[in-house]
Formats: sequence, structure tokens, C-alpha cells
Amino acid sequence: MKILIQQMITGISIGSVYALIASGYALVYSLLDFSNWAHGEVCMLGAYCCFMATMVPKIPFALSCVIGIGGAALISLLNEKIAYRRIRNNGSPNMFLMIAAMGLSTTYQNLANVIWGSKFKQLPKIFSVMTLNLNGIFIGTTDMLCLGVALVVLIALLLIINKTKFGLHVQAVACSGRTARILGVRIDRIIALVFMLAGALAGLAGIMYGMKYNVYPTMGNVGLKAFIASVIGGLGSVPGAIMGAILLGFIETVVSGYISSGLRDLISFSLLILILLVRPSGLFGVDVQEKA
Amino acid sequence: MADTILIVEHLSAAYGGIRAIDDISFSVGRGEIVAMLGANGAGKSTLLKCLSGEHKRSGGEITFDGEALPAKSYSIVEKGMVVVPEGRQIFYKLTVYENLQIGCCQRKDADGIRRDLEMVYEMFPRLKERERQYGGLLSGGEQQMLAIARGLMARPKLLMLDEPSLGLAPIIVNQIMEKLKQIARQGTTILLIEQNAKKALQICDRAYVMNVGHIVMEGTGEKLLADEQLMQAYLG
Repeated sequence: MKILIQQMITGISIGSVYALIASGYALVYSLLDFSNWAHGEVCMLGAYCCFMATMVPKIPFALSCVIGIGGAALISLLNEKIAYRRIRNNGSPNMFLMIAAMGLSTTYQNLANVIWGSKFKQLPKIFSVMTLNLNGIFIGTTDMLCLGVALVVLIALLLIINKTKFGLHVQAVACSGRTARILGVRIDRIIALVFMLAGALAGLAGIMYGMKYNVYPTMGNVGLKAFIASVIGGLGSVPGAIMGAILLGFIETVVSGYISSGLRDLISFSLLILILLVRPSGLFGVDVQEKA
Repeated sequence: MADTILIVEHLSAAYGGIRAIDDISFSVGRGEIVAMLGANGAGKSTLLKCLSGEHKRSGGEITFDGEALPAKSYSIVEKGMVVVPEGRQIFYKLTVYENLQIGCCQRKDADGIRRDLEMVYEMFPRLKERERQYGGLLSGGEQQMLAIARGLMARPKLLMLDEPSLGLAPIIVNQIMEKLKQIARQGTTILLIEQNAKKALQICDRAYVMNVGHIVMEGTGEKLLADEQLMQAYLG
């Protein structure tokens, strides 16, 4: 029982990292109806930005994190400004956006390989290998820190979307970009801000992931897990993506712990296929349909 | 006409190489209800897309309230020219109240917004009753009223409506037309784009008739309503 609780907490902790990335997927998908495959690489580049900052003497780790998050937000914004916006304005089909994103993804991965090499880079472990012993339940302090920070950030995100004017505009653009535009919503500005927000969340996730598993050029593949999570929760729904991510993290840890860690990814991707076949709107997809 | 709010001169627009409207000129006086009539494919919706900044015109001048019309939709709305789009285009996942909030997204005057919200709720009491419901759950007529109310929340000088009678029962259409008269009386100029010529002619001050991208006729509502030949030739 104690081991199960330990596994659950670890699972929710990794799930919360997935959730940070998955909510960015969901936000962009809800506005533009395409899966931003470069999102995982934004996460990776955020981690490298943070790593580079830690190399500079006298910069405290907290500031390095801010630099990592800011760097990821900037890269995400540049993706939108340089690539996606032009493709949209050309009136091309959404497929073009997805292909451009795939291109960016490969480019960034290779770029990271060229700049930093394929070796693992270590972020300073603030509490290093310390574990807390709660009555026989062992929990890594890094896990606890990630979970805590992620929870605060995700709650803030949900509040921004549901309680602010910016959030209302995001929801309106998600519902119908064309109508929002002719009613005076500055949709290009809203989309740019959403890309920055998604990028910042991915950067934070990259730093957390890097603290757990180090920083390396293909770490952006964690974006695939986040994608699975957002499919589980229903594409385009931020609360769904968060729930899906935590569920996925939990399933993965339990599978690793009780069955085999080799089967972890097999189960995750099988789950993706199953959901797409059986319930493509996602487990938490509650949709108000448009009246014909 | 001394006080003209909208002047359109020699306007042309095309999709690819195909001209949808060709050298159109017309004007709307302040406080008027002007109807733009025509059958399917006459170019009415394209005209409206040019006016709302959604489609780039290929030629001509548009002057609104004494100045050249800006290119971006949000600037046009800021200037006071607002469209109620064809098919209502309610944000179906947002509540009635939230839909109205998007209508006034450019405004900063909290007091004015509150007053206008009361004003539209008074005009459309059904919307007040359904304030917290999703827009997608309203009936067609209620959605049309919401679309008009949402447009009014921008406090427009000129409200342009694209086929507000589309797909609605005749009794609802009559209600909508009455509301438009009321809005005009309260000082908002109206440009009404319609296929339903009879209803539009009954409430408008003047009307233009479009056919395949040209304006073929203009006159007062009464005059055009009496012209049987016109009705048969262009409006069915």
C-alpha cells in the first residue's frame, strides 16, 4: 500500500509536467485547429536556455529558470510570427501548419545536436538526491517541488482562461476566429500571446523534466506524451489536457512499477490509439454542440 | 445630402480573377435605414465583407464619418462601424452574457458598457432571462436577437446587418424588423442587407437593388415596393 501511494505521487508529479506541455498543445489547438508538433522542442530549448544561464557565474538558479521560461516563450512566439502566421494568411490548409511544425521540430532537434552535442547536460539539482520519508513513504524532493510549482501554475492558467478578459477573448477566438475578428477582437495579438503563454509553460516543463532526467536534444519527445494526454482529455480543452496528463503520468508510473518499465511507452501509445478509435472527443470531452 | 455617414465610391472587389462587385457607388445618411437588396449571388455579402475589413477591395474609396475607412477590422469597429454577420455566428460555447462582452471588447468605459447592457436587456428581455445560458442553446430567433444585441454593445454609429431574416419564421422576422426601427429611432444608422425584399422595403427609408455586382436601381422604400416589375425582375 505504501509503495502504491509512493507510485501515485511520483505519477502525479510526472503527470503535472506533462500537463504543463499538454495545456499548451490544447490552447494552440483550440485556436488554430492544428497540433503544434514543435511544442516539445520549445520545451527542450527552454531547458537548454536555462542550462546556458546556469553556466554563467553569479546567476542564481531562479534567474536561470526565468531565462529558460522566457527563452521558450520567445521561441514559441517566433514560430508563430515567422512560420504559422504567414501560412495562415496565405489561406493554406491546416495541414500546412502541421507540416511546418514538424519541420521546425526536426530543425530544432538537429540544431541542438550541433550546438550542444548529444551528451546529457545536467541542471543543478536544488535538493539533489534528497528524499522525504513520510512514515515509510519515500518521495523525492524534486518530485514534490515540480508537483507544487506545476499545480500553482496550472491553477493560475485556468483562472486566466476563465476569469479574465484575455481568457474570454481566447475562448471567443477558439469558438470562431472569423466572428471574433469582425467584432473587433485583435486576433493576431491574442494568438501571439497564446503562443507565448504556451511556450512559457513548455519552458517551465522543460526545466522540470531536465532536473529529473537531464537535458538532451531529443528530450522534446516528451511532447508526444503531452499530445497523448491532450487527446485523452479531448483535443483543444485545457482542463481536459490537465486531467489527461495526470492520468497518463499515473498510468505510466504504475505500469513501470508493477509490470515493466519497458512496457510503459507501449501502453501509453496503445491508450492513444484506443481513445482515438473509441472516444475521439476524449474522456472529458463535454461539448456544447452548435444548433443547426 | 449634408450629413452622410457612409460614402462608397466606385468600389470593386474580386475573388481570384472573378469580379464579385464592380464599380458600386452609394451612400448612407446619418440616422437612415438603408436597405441593400438583391438575389443570391448579387454581391451583397461581398460588399459587406469589404465594409467590415474582411475582404480587401480591388478598387474604389470608402469614407466613413468623414474619414477614409481603416483596413483592419478592429479599427473599423473602433470607428463605430459594426457588422451583424450572416447566419448570426453566435459564440455557441460562450454564455449570452459573454457573447455581449465580446461585442464591447474595444470599449474601456465601464459605466457606458453597463448602461448599454441594461439597454439591450430592456430591448430583448429574453436575453436577460437567458443571460447565463450557452449561446448555442438559444433558438434561431433568440440567436438573431443576441447577434444584434452583441453588435449594439460596441455602441456603433452604423450597424450593418447581413440577412437577419434568414431561416426565421415570419412572425420572428416581423419582431426583428420592429427592433431595427426602434434602434434607428434611438439614433443608430442601419445598413440592412436582405434577400427578403418586401420586409426590408417596409421599414427602410431608401433602398438600393443589386444584380450581378452592380447597383441597378435606387429609391425610397415606398417607391420600390410599388414597382411590380422590379420585384419580379430582381427580387422574386
